[in-house]
Amino acid sequence: MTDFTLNGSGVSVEADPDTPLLWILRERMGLTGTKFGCGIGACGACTVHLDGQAVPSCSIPLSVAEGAEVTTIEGLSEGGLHPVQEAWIEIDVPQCGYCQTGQIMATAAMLAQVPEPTDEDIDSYLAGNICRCGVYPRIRAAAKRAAELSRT
Amino acid sequence: MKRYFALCFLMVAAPVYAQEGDPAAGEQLFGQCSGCHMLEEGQNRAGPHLFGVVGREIGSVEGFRYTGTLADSTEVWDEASLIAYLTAPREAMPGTRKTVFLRSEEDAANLVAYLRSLGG
Amino acid sequence: MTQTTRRTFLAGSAATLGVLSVPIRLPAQEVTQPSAPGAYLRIGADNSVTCILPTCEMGQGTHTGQAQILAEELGADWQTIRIEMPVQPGPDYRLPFGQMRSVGSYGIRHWHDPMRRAAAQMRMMLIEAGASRLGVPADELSAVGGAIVHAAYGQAIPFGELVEAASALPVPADPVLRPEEERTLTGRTVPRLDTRVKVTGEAVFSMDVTLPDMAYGAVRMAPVFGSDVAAMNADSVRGMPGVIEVVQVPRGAVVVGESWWQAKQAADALDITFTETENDGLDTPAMEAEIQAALDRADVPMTLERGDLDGAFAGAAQVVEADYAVPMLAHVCMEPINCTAQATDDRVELWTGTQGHDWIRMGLERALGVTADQLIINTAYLGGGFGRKTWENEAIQAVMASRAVGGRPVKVIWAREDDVQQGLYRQTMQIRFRAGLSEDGRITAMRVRMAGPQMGAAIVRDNNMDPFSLLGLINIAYDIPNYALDHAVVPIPVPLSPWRSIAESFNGYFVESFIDELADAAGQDPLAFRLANLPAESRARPVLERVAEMADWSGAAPEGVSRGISVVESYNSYVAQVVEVTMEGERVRVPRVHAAIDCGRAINPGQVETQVQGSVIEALGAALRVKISLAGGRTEQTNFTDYPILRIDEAPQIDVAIVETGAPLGGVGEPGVPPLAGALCNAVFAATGQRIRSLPLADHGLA
Repeated sequence: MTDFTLNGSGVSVEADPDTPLLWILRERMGLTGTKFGCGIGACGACTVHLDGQAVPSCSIPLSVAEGAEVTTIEGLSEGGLHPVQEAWIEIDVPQCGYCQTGQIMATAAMLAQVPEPTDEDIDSYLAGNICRCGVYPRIRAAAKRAAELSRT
Repeated sequence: MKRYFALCFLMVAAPVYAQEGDPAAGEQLFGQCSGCHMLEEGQNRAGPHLFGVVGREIGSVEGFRYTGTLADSTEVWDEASLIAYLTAPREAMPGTRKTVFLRSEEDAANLVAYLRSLGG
Repeated sequence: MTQTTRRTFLAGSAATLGVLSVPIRLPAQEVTQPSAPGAYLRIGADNSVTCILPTCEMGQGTHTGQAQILAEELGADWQTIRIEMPVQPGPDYRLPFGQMRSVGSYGIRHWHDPMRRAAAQMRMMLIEAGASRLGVPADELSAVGGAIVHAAYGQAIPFGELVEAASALPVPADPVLRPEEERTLTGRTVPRLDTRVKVTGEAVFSMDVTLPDMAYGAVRMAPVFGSDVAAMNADSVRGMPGVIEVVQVPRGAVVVGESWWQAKQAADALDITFTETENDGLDTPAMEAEIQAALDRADVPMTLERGDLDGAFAGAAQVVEADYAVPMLAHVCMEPINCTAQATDDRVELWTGTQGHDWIRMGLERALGVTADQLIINTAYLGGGFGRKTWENEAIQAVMASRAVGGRPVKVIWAREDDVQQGLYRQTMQIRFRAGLSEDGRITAMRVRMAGPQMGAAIVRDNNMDPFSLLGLINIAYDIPNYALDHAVVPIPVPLSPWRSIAESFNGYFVESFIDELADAAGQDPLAFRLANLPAESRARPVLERVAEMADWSGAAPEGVSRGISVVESYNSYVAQVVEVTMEGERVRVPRVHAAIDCGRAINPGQVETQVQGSVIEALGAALRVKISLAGGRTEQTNFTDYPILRIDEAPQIDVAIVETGAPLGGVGEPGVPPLAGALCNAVFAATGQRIRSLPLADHGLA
């Protein structure tokens, strides 16, 4: 039995502790906003927060979550939208949208550490998140807009 | 191609080799890494544990599945190679799964100083 | 996206206005008028307006664009528009070649007219019903914001109240379209309808479909194309945790489990062997050598020939020759291939994200005898498509898996490695150009030999005239009086699939690089040379001139920056690009790209902009460092680590201008791709003097 906090609530999961957190979230918890993209932590589609840090949940075994706080896109904001989500809507970022929840989780984690990101900050923090549609120009704009919205 | 990467690696590394890192500043930076890397030996997450990484053989952590150049390398991590890797992981080690990186060589030097200070 | 198995326009009137009321298949080219206005629109008594759209939403934005067209013409309230897709392909949803597929950048340019017409018919019927109700002439009424409005009386009747009466009216044969001044929802940037759900995580992609009692399937497929299962020992994994069943499918097996992770562990552990094939020794260098040899092949039928080539070459002031090559590419959609099926012997229901509804229908019929009336396809959002998601393999796997577990729904998911290694690649191609230039730098003759596979072999009738190989060459944009083109076909034992912009993805690069070589040989500026050799009326001119202005082409390039230019027509749109490069040691960096597009009227300019930007990113990533190669018959690449597409840290600034010339509607999803590689390599030539005649740049140590 693995116990952790998921989007603010305590949960207990009975599963092979080697199971990647991603599949627990998607199949057991029904939280399908976190996506499967590569399975090896190279694309960022599965990004969640583990104790506030952006991590690829496909490469985090369930055992690592024991006692930790896990936040998914569904729990990013308690009620209403997170400033990052607001910025994403304002800039109309997504095309196919499959990577966007991961992009948003990575951006939210970045802003928690770097409230006023430069282009270089955005590059270094978001290089882990591939967008196959190539909406990087809008992601860049939205990340900066989110920083503004977070300050107000 | 491989030779080219090796060359590029040296070019990036050379000017920072002499830089003295600040472990305290590095500890601050480690927050960015701690989601994927643990500092305790044997604790692998999305990335391998970093206990004793300075001086450790590249791609050698037990139980961690390395990809690309990391899996093939027989070199040992030192300050220069770590700084090159931390600032441009995909160029220094093609095929790595590590994609996020540090903005500056100074940050990287600080982080390496912190990792070194932990011993191991 | 909602699931619909039965739809009616106007409650209770399916018989007169139901979507599938025309059971016969019309000759494909004539499907420009819907069988009934209800094919694309349904209005409920609750005032809901639902757009029923024939094109999947894979990021290209056509759900929003098509809804704009329908809502504008109808006079619907944009805020309450709903979207759904038909669950069975029908004539109203098929493209000119007779299939329901989301391909060819057809989404807006093809559906614009039939959708407008259907919406206008419905509007006129609602107005007619309103006129009867109010006892006023129809021409005093208008449809605005989801209601029939009598401005003078200050009355507004919501659509829903008129639904029943309108259903009983005859469908106007010659609907009157709204005049230009009433077209207020198209031609401007409207936020996408799917943005919010994609930002909150609520959007249901194919991968996210969840059904009661659903099981999961992981695949284990033959690593070599043409190989099939030789022997399989299902018992080797039956005892593993969560394993429900092991199902042999064409070219492999599906392991069905209670969770995908468990199924995947078992699929990897499965004791299975595959047949030996003649492809077991296939290597990319050998394949490329065979294609290269075909550049010299004799007795190839001429595809296209005009003028007097020999005479023109004899009289040319100089002759320029060059060979070019491109590798195979994978699509690597962010959402790996997947399909959910619930299947019994006589009924199959799918939940999937597909670009190829009719292809799945035909594939299931061919492979498993599933007839059209037994099949329901629920279309979820696609996490990218790019031409990859038009096939039936995963649907066959899911149906077989579901039947094997007694009709329990099964979601089959391919791992990324399966997606990268199981083919359906963009073809590898090579080309040889020979051109004659006059003294003053006009192209007087061009001989073009294409060599490589013929993706469109199934539709080719005469002279190897294959649009999937030769578009961009058949219709070369330049004014070349003496011109000849042929294609030495070299079949390759690898399954291929159109890759965003298909033949233009390589022919754009080939032609626009070679044109640059000709400009250099003629001693002319690349822009001036193009303008001098394009027909006077060419739509390539306005976009070239615009992009040159954006990049200040006539001025000096910024310090350290080198520039390349190109222009390509595809899908009836013209796109010109200027790529700016800097050299960092031997490494090419691309800080900025300028693009100008003429796609006719831009229905949603913001979406045109982002499509062009995305196309640039995609094409740049491909040109810089990715390729698919085979060794020992197996694909060498596995995942994003060794198929490294572009990430944000290498994404250039991309400025997009929309040039409206009054031309008919053109495609938007693909035309931004073809010009990029040519402009990039032309910039590299400007920077280094090195002409890049094969991709990717990484093979030349430049990326």
